[in-house]
Amino acid sequence: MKRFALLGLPNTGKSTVFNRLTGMSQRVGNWPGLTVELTSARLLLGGKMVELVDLPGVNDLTGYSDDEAVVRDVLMSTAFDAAILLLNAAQLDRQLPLALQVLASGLPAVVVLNMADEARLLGISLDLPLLRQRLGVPVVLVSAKRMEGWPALLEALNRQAASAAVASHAQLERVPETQQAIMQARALLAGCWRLPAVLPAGITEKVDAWLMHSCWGLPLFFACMALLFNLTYQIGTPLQGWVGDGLDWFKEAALQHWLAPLPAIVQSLLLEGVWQGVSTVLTFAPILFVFFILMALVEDSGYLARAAYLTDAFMARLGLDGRGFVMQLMGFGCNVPAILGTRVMRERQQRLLTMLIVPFSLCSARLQVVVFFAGILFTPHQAPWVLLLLYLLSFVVAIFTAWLFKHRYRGNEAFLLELPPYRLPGMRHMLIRAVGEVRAFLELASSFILMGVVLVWLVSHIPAGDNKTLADMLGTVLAPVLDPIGIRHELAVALLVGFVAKEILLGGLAVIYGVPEAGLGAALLHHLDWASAMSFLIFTLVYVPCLSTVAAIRRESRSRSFTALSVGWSVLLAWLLCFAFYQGLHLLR
Amino acid sequence: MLSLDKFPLGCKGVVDSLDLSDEAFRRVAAFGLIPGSHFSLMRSAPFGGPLVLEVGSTRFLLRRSLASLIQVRVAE
Ligand SMILES: Nc1nc2c(ncn2[C@@H]2O[C@H](COP(=O)(O)OP(=O)(O)OP(=O)(O)O)[C@@H](O)[C@H]2O)c(=O)[nH]1
Ligand SMILES: [Mg+2]
Repeated sequence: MKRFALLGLPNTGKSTVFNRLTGMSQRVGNWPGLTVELTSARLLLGGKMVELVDLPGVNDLTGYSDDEAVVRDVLMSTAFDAAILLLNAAQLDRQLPLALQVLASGLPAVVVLNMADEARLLGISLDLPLLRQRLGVPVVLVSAKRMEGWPALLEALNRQAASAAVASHAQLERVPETQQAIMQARALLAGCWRLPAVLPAGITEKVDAWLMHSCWGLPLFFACMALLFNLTYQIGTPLQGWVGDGLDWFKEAALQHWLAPLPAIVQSLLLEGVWQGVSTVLTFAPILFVFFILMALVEDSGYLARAAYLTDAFMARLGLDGRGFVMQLMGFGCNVPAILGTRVMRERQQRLLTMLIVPFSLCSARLQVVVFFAGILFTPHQAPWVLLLLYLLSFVVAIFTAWLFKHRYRGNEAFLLELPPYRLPGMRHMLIRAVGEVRAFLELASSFILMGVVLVWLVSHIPAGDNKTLADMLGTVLAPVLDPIGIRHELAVALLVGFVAKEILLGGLAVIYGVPEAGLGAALLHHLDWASAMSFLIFTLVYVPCLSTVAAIRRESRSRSFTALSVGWSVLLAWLLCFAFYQGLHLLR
Repeated sequence: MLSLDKFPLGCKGVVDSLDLSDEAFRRVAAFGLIPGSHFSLMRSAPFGGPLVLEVGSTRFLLRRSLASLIQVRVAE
């Protein structure tokens, strides 16, 4: 089998091309450094099976940062039949040096100039045949987003795949130094690629005049975030209600009758355990769908880089930079990619500090918990604002943590970040992303969450003497830590499974109180008072997000003690916050 | 000649020299900022925040602390 690598600077559209060629749905976004790991897929080119590898973007083949190391390692350890070099046609002046480095390494290459649409709008003049002749390799001009120039690209790839040459390793020792490569590129581009003397002003300048404004930029950012969560809530909760009604109807109309012949204990396990737990979790699928559509919109528009610009001055005081803030935003979807996304940071210390605060970012699993509790503890009018307030709280907690640890993890790296032009997010891509996330969530529900709720059911039904269950016993053991923060004993088991994944938490609660989703709010209010429910919510939001995040931190930090610190600190902080909240409220009353 | 962090906003300039480590130089060079390259200073964030430069058609932000190590002059 042949093997092709997709190489290029960050944000040139490698993953877009990869998706277009293979039909996969790798995550793309208008943010440099979105892909940090290898992915590969097979496709048929020139009658041969070809494995196409999507790589993280690199600036330079002589660099040694973690993300560039991934690419260097792959190039050194694996033989490739060709490199597909993806360059932004509008930025050849800074992108061609990398291409020259790759060509010097001896890998056969096909040069793909992407973003033809943007280059055209900018009025760039390009002499393609001359460039082809000077580079001595096939060069095609495409727009991956619109699939322009596709036949020529496929033809070049087919020809490459059909060639009889054997795969070879890149000889990185032959790669020219950065400055040398830049000089060569300059000479090469003279007379075949030129920017107009004055770039035409586009939509990006007009939008940035507002979004990057020295006074209005930050307020507009917060307004955007408020809008995002408000929309999620306003569109998502009615949908959630319908799904909940549908599931309840199904249970009453069908499920109960089917299960009636079974022994009582099995019925209880299936209805009060499995069904109630899992159906409670399922009602959140529509909210996640809406949320991920909006997140994809933010990621793919190019706004994240602006958020980094706006917050960098503040983040610098915490020993972080604007990228750290963006990872916090990315963590809203899921903490794991945000932890991996810190690879673009070159300095280990700064990377560790960022990894320490990412877990406080409220991921979509915790979004469910917040939406649920906001719905029962506050009026429908207040709920969206409470949602926003809790997200702000998560920032405050993260900021406090960074401030506390900034002397321990001190970094000061050369921070530069591309501000890409705004790009219109593809409707298709947003849908694919949201559907993918919801599907992953449903898969989780059918395996992990199912096991979790069965476990909770068992623990809260297995007798452990004295008319008590295992869950009661667990609560009694943990009483000294739970009582001061007002968390009721029966909830100990929910917090324990919540350590594994927050998605299980609400299902666990439904099982603990033996009520379906529709009745869970009322049941909780019946058993818990307002302060105690709030305390439980705060604890849930602050302590360890899930086992996968812990595993990611362990893998990326390569340090057990750092991982232990991250886990220990978040549990301690959660407890302290709840203590202050609960006891403070009691003093006030 | 002046350092980039003191450069007047909205003006075009030319890079003279960069007083950077190898690693930092590579990072800066990847955005096209090397001796002799033309740029314009588009924006600067309040409270000592980053600067936004344009080199060719590429826009990027860089920190003032880094900019203070880059010597530039105003282009005629
Ligand atoms: N206008 C335009 N935008 C494009 C084109 N191809 C890709 N994009 C957009 O460019 C952005 C970056 O695309 P990605 O495919 O994520 O880029 P990448 O090279 O994989 O980026 P990293 O993984 O960060 O290295 C996305 O917003 C794409 O929608 C194109 O031909 N024209
Ligand atoms: Mg990518």
